[in-house]
Amino acid sequence: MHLNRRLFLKAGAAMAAIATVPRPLYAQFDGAPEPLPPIEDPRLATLAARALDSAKSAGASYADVRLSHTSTRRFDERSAGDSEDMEVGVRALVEGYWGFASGPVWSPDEMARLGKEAVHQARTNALGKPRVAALAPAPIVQNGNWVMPVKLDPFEVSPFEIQDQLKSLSILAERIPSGLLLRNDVFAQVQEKAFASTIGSYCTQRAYLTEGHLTLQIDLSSKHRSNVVTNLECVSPAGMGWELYAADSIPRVRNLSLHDELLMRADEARADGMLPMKALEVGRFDTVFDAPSVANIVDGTLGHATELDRALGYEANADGTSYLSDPAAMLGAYQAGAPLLTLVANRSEPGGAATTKWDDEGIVPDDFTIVKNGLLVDFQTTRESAGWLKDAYAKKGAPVRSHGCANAPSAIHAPMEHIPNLSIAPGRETGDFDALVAGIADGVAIKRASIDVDFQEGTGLGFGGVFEVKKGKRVARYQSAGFLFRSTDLWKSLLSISGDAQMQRIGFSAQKGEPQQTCYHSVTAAPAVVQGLTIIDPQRKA
Amino acid sequence: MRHTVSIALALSALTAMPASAQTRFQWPDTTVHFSRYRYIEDCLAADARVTASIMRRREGTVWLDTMPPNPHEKLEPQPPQLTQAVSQCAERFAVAKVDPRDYAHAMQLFLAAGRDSDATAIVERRLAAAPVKNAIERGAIVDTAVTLYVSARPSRLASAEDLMLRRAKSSTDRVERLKTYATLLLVAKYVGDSARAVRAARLVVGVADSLTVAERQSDAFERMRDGQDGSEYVYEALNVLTGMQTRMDSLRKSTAAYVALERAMWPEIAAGRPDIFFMTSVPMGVGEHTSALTADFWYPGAASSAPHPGRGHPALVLFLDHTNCIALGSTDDAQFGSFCASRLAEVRRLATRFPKLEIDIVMSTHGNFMYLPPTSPAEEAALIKQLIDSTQIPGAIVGVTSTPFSRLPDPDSRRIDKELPNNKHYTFEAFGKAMPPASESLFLVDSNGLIVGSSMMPEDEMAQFIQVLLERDGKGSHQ
Amino acid sequence: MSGRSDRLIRLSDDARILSEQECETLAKRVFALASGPGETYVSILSWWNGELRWARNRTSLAGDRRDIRVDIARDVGVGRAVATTNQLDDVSLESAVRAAERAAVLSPNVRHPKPLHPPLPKPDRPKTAIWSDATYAVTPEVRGETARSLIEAAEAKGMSSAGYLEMRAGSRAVLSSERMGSTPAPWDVPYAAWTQAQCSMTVRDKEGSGSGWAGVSNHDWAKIDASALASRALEKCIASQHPVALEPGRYTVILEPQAVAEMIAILETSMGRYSREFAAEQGMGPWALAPDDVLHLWRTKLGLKVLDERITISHDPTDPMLGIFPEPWMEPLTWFDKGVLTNLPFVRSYALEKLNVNSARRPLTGYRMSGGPTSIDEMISTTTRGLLVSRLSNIRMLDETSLLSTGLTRDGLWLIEHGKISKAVKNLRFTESPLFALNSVEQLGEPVPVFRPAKNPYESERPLTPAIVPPIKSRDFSFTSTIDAI
Repeated sequence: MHLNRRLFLKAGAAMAAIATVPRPLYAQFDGAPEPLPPIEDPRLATLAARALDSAKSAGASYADVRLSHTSTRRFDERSAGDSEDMEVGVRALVEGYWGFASGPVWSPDEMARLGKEAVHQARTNALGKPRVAALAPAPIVQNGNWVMPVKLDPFEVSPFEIQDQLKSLSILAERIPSGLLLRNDVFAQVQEKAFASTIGSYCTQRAYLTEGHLTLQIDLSSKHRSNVVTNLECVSPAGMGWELYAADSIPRVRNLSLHDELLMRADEARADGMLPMKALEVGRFDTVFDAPSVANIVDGTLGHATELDRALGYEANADGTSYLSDPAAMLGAYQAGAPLLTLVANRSEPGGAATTKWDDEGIVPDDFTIVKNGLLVDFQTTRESAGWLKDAYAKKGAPVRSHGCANAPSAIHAPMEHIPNLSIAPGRETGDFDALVAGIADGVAIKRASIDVDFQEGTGLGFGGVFEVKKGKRVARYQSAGFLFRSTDLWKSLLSISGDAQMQRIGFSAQKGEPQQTCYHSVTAAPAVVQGLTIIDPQRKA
Repeated sequence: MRHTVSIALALSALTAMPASAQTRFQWPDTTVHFSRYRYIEDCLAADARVTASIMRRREGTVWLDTMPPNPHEKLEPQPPQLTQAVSQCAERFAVAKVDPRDYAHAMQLFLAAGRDSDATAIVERRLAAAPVKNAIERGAIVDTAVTLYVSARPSRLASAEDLMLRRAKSSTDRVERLKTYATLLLVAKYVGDSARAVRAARLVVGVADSLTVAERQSDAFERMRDGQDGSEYVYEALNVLTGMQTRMDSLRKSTAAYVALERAMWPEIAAGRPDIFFMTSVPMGVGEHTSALTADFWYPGAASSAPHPGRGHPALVLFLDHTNCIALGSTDDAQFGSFCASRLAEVRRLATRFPKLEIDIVMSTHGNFMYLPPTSPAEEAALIKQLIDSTQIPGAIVGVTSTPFSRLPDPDSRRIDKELPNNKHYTFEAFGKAMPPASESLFLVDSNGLIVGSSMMPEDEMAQFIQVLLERDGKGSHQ
Repeated sequence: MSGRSDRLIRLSDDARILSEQECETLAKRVFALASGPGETYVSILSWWNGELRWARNRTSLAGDRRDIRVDIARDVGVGRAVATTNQLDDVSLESAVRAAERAAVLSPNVRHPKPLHPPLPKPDRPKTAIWSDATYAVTPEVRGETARSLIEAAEAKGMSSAGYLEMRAGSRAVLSSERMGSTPAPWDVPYAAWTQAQCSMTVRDKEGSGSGWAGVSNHDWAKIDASALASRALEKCIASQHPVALEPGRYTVILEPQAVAEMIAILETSMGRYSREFAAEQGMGPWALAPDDVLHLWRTKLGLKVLDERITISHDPTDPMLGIFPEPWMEPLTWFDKGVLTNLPFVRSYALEKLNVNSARRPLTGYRMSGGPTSIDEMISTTTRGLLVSRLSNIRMLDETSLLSTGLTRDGLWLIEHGKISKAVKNLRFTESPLFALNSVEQLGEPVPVFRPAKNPYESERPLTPAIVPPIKSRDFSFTSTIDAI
């Protein structure tokens, strides 16, 4: 049935003759080749149906198909480049086993092949021990269509204007004494997706993702100082258009124009860099974290630990498992943090990097709570994984439904559970980071922390700008300092969180899966204070 | 049995829609909307972009570095489409609303938009905001403003001069004043305004004469500007005041007379200090005898039978490093260097204009050429010849020396070139410093083998020197 | 149906990746579509993956995926830009070419005409074993069978397993319109096709108190013994159950080959970043030596012993176990010869200018590390007190000069006391430098292939990264804290 390459090569002249004829690929609808139509074109629905028909004919009990058309444009001050691709992927369920087939061709023949192949893949595994895949119910989507609202479509803005804006930032950096932009580039993506499933759903969407890198270095080189390098997280990935750069302000992202934000950050970085360096005193200290630090820690600990597939061992051979090791028992019972901590998830917030109308299984994601007043109350789910918590949901009287976390970078990848947008509930403190620092007599303040967690997210080592706090002021910088933590202990030691006015949204990427996939989501957090954080020198050997 | 999946579609609504084809790799309307440009830097970015695109378009037809120098270039107005684009963008910025701390970028923008009075206004506001006693701050503002005035197109020399003279007047520190006048002199020469240059030169010399020995030995004098010694500027001033006419008259008499005129300036420059920190503008080797150039490979081959530079006619000796001319990129490609190309173009123009001028190009081997595999000295010399041939310098004589070298011990094995005899012979001393000839440096040699000038001269000055030497030879006078 | 004889790509089993002829034809079409002056460069990548993933003893997803990526660069004399597409029809290709031409305005790159155009000699790209029919021929059925037998091994012992099987084929060609006659230009990357197979498995007990892992990757599926892999993962899981906490500190460690490979990966990253140019000309990175007193030139540590003298790390492209993508100047290369640093990567332009040699040195991508006579069992029996480490994970470099790094042990850590494994121990965080560990070596064992697949199928420049690595015993390895994760 299958030819190996040697045979293929041996076929010689005949094959060579065919091979010299170019093999064009095109979207073929009525038989004549034509350029790609908009995603709402009904002929794409027909194509999708063909794939599903083929899968059904081959014996799938359920099948879904995604067609994605992705355009990207990347800029830096001195260059620009475009990419565009079309992908299609079919997923089929046969006797509890999933099969998947994908490729770059949109044509009726290819739809048929993929549908059949997906079933073939599933079937080869269904020969073994039985497996049950109970998909949580999904309302039928009657030809839905959604376009992510953006203020400035980056593909409609003049590329000259975008480059001028990037160049403007580096001209601005000239004004900053000893300032230099180490990195100044932006990436914009628009993806159109059509989704169809055998329950009868069909929807089309267009979503944007814009991500920039803006890294400023201030050269303070001298005997007691070094360079200060700071990344502006206000241009981290977002479900937005060019307004990510051009807007005068973006709620929860920046209160100033990007121009003024850069100047402000330069002043801040210089002030931080001018603080005297100090040798570290290892110990446990009350610690103030800024909003980006809290967002990073949320993401690395609870964000990954509450992926249900991960918690149940589906990533065990890749990144690992979860310290929330028994979801069914822990749901509603496990104290994941202080009562101060509430963590909610959504795929609806405007500007969120995971924001969408329908997930990759045609589900409208809901806003759901993962941790409520410190108690673990839910996990991130898809149609199949929601069923794994059936009993736990029944106990708390909640319906078994997917929270809509199915996602994939494009249709070439099989959808899987990916972290949605996360947000901690703002606290009662009205003050900002400095105000929280003012409340610390003797302790530590940490800015822009990043963490390395273990493969269960249960413990971690953090890095960042670590400052000594004395009498409510940051008085010195620790040259080589980090912090060690256990995730649950850390969250339980939360003393206070700043309020709504201090909430900041930051975009993250997350990799998982075999083969590996990368998807994006946002985390919104506010500055917070924790008690008794263990501060160490990460470069100190035993 | 075929299963047909029905997808619920409001088909009626959709089939009415025309199947419009979407263009792939959409390119939007590239019109730039300056209404969205909020900041001065945005407009400066647009300025940089439009300038770069104009330059690139010109470069598409001619390699600008190889064009003869245009003495009026700095005073020419900028291209109208640039002014139009910049002023359109800058419309929204009223000078009254600009924060004085942003004066530098604002000034740059206003000058590019042709709004000179606004530029002056913002500088004045910035100066007014600086405490009168803070000379350093005020000095920094003036320096920035002068740079911006001079680099604008056309150069705003009058405004620059005005600022500098006011600054000098308000300064009691003589070294500080000298620095200001020196800057004025430099700027006037750079722009090609000879009347202003002469005025500035007088001011420079005037202050220099009044300096005490202690002042001349001070740090501020020794590191006056860009690491250059104050004496540099005194020399420049004296040269300007002497004037081209006088210099050419003495050269016409004899080389010795010219050298004497040149050297007469030196005591004034070195006044009280036997050893000057760093001098670059004094032409090296003036009045020195040249040695015959040595080479392992001569092109044309016949050149090896006579010494070069030869006697009886002026000669131009050019030291060139082919690795400066053809820089190897990180991939298997090579780029031709601008500075080398412009120097070779200059030599070609001089050679074409003065057929009696001997052209000697002094080169050496490096063990590799462009992206080719390593070359033997003979192979490399042949390639060097091809390189020079392509520059079409009429009658060029090329002498290629196989560079002696050693290798660092294995495994490092980096090649360490040894000093070349030609370089050694053309290393001259002045003011206690010996300067070996850098790549692309030129020496003008008279018909008796005496050096009369070097690459510090601009092309039109060099041409005048050569003209005089030829006239002198024609009359048969020499010394 | 149009009257043309064009035919749709079938992407059937016999044509999962593009052939050489197809790439050549495609490139010619792209060149013909260019408008205006300048050169066109096209990079054509195609790949196919046959995948099977399982967790909790059941296959979770089996898939067949394939894609194409065509990067079209247009150098129009005053600018150069790239547009990327995965569609091969005329409209798509032409749009991509136009997109590259338009974007060139935004990507200025003025290149002045060269006075000479001597022909660039064509570099030799040696043949290297990177294609395996066995890998290409593996069907979903075979993958399914393999997975079932691996799962069965774990399930029979009451354990839960997760794992991944993948067979990949890829092809790549980079062709430019600037040609010498009809043959490809010397800077083109001639067509090459490769395969990669990987198999890895994690076995955990139901309570999550133990975890064992094993994995192997190779371009040839026939060289992978999946059942041996399963036994290893299972044994380790059982032996690692119910670990106890151990005080961090400095320990003698026996690093299994996978862990050693992970330490060497730190050296690899560093060599990739701090090539010979950086060390010799700018004094940057771990391989630089302070300037000498005479010439005041930065130097490299080339010629100096930087690792234990029993360590030789080399790559022979003719070794069938070490096939990597063919590149020019791919002669056998040794980076560390009996502990002495003998080569650092450098590009050809550096070699021509500074060394006067027509060569380049590739970075550490695939390699064989020398070993010794001591088996892991013998290492254990000769250890008074130490730790047996299966593998390392989550490694982060802390200092780029000393290569001090931190990371975690994973999937099996055992305390050795008086020559015997005494107990399973909770995972530890280490803070150590590979330079230190590879200098404190006591014993080495037999080198074996490790798990080092290239993850990203779109990765085209170095799509294969095989390594053959021995276990080592090293002194005074620094562990700085305990972690709870299993």
